Amino acid sequence: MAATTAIKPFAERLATELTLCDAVDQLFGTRLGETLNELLIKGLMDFFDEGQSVWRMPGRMRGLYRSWSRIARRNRRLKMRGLDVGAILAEAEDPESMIDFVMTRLGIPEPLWMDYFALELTRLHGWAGFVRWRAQARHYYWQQRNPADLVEYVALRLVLALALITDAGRRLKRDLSYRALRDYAERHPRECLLRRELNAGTVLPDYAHRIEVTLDQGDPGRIDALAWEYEGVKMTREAESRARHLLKVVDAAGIPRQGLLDRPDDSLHAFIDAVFAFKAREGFLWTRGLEQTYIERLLREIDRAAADTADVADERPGEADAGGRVQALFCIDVRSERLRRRLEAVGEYETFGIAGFFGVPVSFVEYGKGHETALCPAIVTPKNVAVEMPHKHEHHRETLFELGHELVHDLKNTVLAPYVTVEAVGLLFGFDMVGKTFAPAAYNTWRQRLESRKPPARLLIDKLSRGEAEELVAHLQDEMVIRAIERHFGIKRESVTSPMIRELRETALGNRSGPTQFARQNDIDPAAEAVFITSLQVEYRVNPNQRQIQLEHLAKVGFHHRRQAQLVGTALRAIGLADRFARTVLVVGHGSTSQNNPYESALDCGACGGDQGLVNARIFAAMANRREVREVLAEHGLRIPEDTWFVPALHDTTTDEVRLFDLDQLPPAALTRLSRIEEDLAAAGRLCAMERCAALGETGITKPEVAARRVKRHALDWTQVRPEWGLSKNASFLIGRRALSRALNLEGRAFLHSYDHGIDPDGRLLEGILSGPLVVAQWINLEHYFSVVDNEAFGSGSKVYHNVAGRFGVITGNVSDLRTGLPAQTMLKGREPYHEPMRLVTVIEAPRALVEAVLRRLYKPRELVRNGWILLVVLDPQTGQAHQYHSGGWQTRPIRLPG
Amino acid sequence: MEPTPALAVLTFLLAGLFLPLYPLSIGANLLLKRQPPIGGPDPLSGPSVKAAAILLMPVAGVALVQLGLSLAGEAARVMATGFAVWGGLSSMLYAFRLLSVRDGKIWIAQLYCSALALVWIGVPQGVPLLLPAVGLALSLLPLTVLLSYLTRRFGIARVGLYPGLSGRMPVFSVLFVAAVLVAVAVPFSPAFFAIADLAFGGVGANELITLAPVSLSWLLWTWAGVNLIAGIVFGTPRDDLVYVDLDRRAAVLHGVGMLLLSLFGIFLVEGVL
Repeated sequence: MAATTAIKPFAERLATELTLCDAVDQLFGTRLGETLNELLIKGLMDFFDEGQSVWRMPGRMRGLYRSWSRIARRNRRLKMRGLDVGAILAEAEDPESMIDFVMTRLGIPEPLWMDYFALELTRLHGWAGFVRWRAQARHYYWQQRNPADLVEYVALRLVLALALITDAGRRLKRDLSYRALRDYAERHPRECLLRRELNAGTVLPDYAHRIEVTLDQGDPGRIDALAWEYEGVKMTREAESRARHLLKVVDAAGIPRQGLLDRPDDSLHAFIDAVFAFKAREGFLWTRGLEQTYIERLLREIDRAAADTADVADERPGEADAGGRVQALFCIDVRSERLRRRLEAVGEYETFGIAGFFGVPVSFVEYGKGHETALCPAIVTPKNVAVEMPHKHEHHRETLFELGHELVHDLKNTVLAPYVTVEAVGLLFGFDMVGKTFAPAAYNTWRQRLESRKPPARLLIDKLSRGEAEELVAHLQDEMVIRAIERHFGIKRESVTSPMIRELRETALGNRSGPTQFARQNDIDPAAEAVFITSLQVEYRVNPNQRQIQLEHLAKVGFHHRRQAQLVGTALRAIGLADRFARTVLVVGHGSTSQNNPYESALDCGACGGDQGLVNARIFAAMANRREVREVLAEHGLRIPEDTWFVPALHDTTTDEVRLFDLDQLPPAALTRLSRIEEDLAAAGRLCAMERCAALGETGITKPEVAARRVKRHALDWTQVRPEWGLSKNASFLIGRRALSRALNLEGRAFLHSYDHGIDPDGRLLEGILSGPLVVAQWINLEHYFSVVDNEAFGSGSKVYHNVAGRFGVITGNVSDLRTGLPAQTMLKGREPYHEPMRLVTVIEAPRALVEAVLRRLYKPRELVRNGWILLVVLDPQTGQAHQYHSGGWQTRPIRLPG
Repeated sequence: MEPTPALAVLTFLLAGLFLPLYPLSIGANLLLKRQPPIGGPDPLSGPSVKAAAILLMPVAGVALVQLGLSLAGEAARVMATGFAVWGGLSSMLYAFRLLSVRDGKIWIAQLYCSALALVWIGVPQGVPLLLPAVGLALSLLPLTVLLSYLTRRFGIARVGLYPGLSGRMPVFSVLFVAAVLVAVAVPFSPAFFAIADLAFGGVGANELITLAPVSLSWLLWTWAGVNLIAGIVFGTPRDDLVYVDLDRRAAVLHGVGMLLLSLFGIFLVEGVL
């Protein structure tokens, strides 16, 4: 009876928990699921490649399903494996019809189809997730070029599954359709039990041989007898295992063993059941314990710090001396906390926390790159573009080193060259390897000297007028005309006048017709001239359509100065910096430096879409320094003194070095203050490096200078799997005045967003913080939470086995699911978790009524709080109470707050 | 001794039972992969019997080959070449089959057949066969012993049933990896020097007959060895099993045994023995 009840679920699990491939694998010891994944992944890697492979899959513009099926029809390797994919593909043209055909052929009842699709999607959840993301990323270049969606993905998977099942059926001489498998499972439950145990890797090892022999003999009587025996033995061993566990528990609890054994059986059973029932909830209990301990400690420290400073007014440092003190805007990132704390301790610095894109959502076009990068949180779609322009126009000449570099890599990537050039080229790679391994700092410095540097560039952030945009497009088109003339006729610029160029451009744009002065002067016959004009239109894209596209693109470039004022004003007010400006305000974006690290963007700024925050800092500073912007801000009551200058900077979170930028745009008076600031930043950075080295477990660090050198080496060392801990150990999000946390050592575990409820009576500023930065911080927190709870399933396992796939993802080994989440080296220290799995503790310093009102207006943050994904604590300065949200209500206790 | 080619062929065929030539190899294969019958002990499937068979069968085989050569007279070279081809093909066949084997006992049996069949390729060139044969056989002993330990521990030695031993039985895993590497003839194992001896000795007679089976079989052994290690040492361990690592004494004994084997290998190549 027990066996029947154990087997019945197998029949019911078909198509709801097990795909047919899984079922066949478990019953007959095949490896259909594994083969299916392997074949599918190879196809997906070919299709989604973003420039890694030298020979690209042809016809990708047709879409995933059509391009794959076109090749699969002729794939002889599949045929040699016995998979007649061509015959299946001949049955339907489009993916929807193919899904219908395969599901019907497999005999899966229609009500189970949705379950079955979900099963197929979860088998390679990384790939399925990537395809889903890509299908939704309509502006993503590769999606526009080679479209793909989940319907195509499922169709492709089902085609391969049907081919494999058909082939397996032929080899096993069985009908492997849904109905046949279900009948088989219902009619032979005990045989199914043994088969599943044997093939699913759960068999008791000492029974494996007997089960195998008995199943081979095929005698139903013997199979039934063995199944009964096996179930009994398995149950006994399970009971023994539970008993051993129970003994461990009672030993740990200090309960005498004999006392336990003297109890009646019923009591012992109840005890065992209780222990194992608790086991399912044990993890969450520990999590809650961890969280509550953290909350208690945090509140206690805030209270104590407030008591310690009770006699001191909430005065900003060095208030009286605006010239001596410096204000600095840092990203809310947990890694800023250490630097802020150290910097404040070193000198008269007042620091603020703000989302690292500084409230400027922008797409950035870097000099020399043709694509836009969105520098803002993933929940925001930027509408404006900033373009990087070099100070002076210069032709790019490739150095000998770059040519050699390109040649060597071309040789490496072609199909046959490595076989014939390995001896010669391999030596160069060996040289590279020795340099990177044994002297990373010196070698990288030398390499950087060889590589040509990007010329100094400024950011185009002001809106262009229609006239300016037209002039710019005309200028670009003239450049194209000059290049075309030189290439087609070999005529240099000095022999062509500007009116001639303009005339050719206007002809190509269709604004005039007839022979041109250029043709007459150079004796070019009308036919050749016509060919040249056509070439200008087609090859060089000097045509009305392209002009219109260029004008549309230029319309997105830059911000109107009123918009700039709005962005700057909103950001400054949100952090409570509306008056008492210092003469120098640092705007510090952050980024990381590491080598050989596919996870580098996980160490950069989350608020900048996983990129470095420098561009946003430069844009923000440039906007805030503009006279027109300050005039508009002053109209709205936010007066920035004339002698206040915003200076962009980049905090390298791997080395804790801070570099200042755009100094050429500052007046000399402002420059004089910077040398001391740079010294202070360097000193604070060295102190941070000491803390960092301790966290990384570095030994022999006696002085800050040694620590600074060590972390710098980490940043340049290509063998370093953990250049920094990143956002590991993140635990809380503090929204309030810096006074709340200034005296606390938060150990780089807290996101810090400055906020002053006193200037936000209607809660609009808090609304912005809760709906943006809080949501992003919660994503980061959960990413870490799940990556540490089960690093293999939700994280990405060890970095050591990772390979970059197609320049868009990471896989383990040469064929695997796309890895999601964070690697083991970011989550674990040895075998122990370094990151403590906790939900984000969010502390808001504001009246509770205000917070409740804001949450009522915001769906997403409200749901996160209500459903327990965020642990909310409100510190109400009006009542002096700390309110902790718990299961729909508030738990209140008194607390002292600074000021 | 009077040359009697027919008797020589018969002697070679007899040798093919011990230096396995397919299908004469079936006997050796059956003996070495023998499992204890369900429900009762079986002395023939014990590790000591198998270890003795692994050591003695090659010696018997080599003696019969020498007898056959002396009986063959002038036809010895032709006959030896024919048997060398047969031995090479047998070796490659078993090496190929080894790739799909999951059971430890069958794995050892098939590796024995593949490895000892290679001895035949040295016959045409008159390579002294005893040391290579013993070297190949000796290299299988550590793995035989460790697989029998797994059988005692879990009831069966099989890939995939209890993966992830490296986490639960680290000492055993280290020795196991070393034993597999020794068995598949990595450098400095006696088997490596044995196949080097056969290859360098036999290459003068015919490069193809000598090098094709040696290189292909060696490649396939290594591949199969990696599969064996991957399915037993690596992976996620099962929570429902009890794992007990080797005790210190057993670990030292096994380690010393393997060290002695390495020394034997070096002596083998130096011709000291």
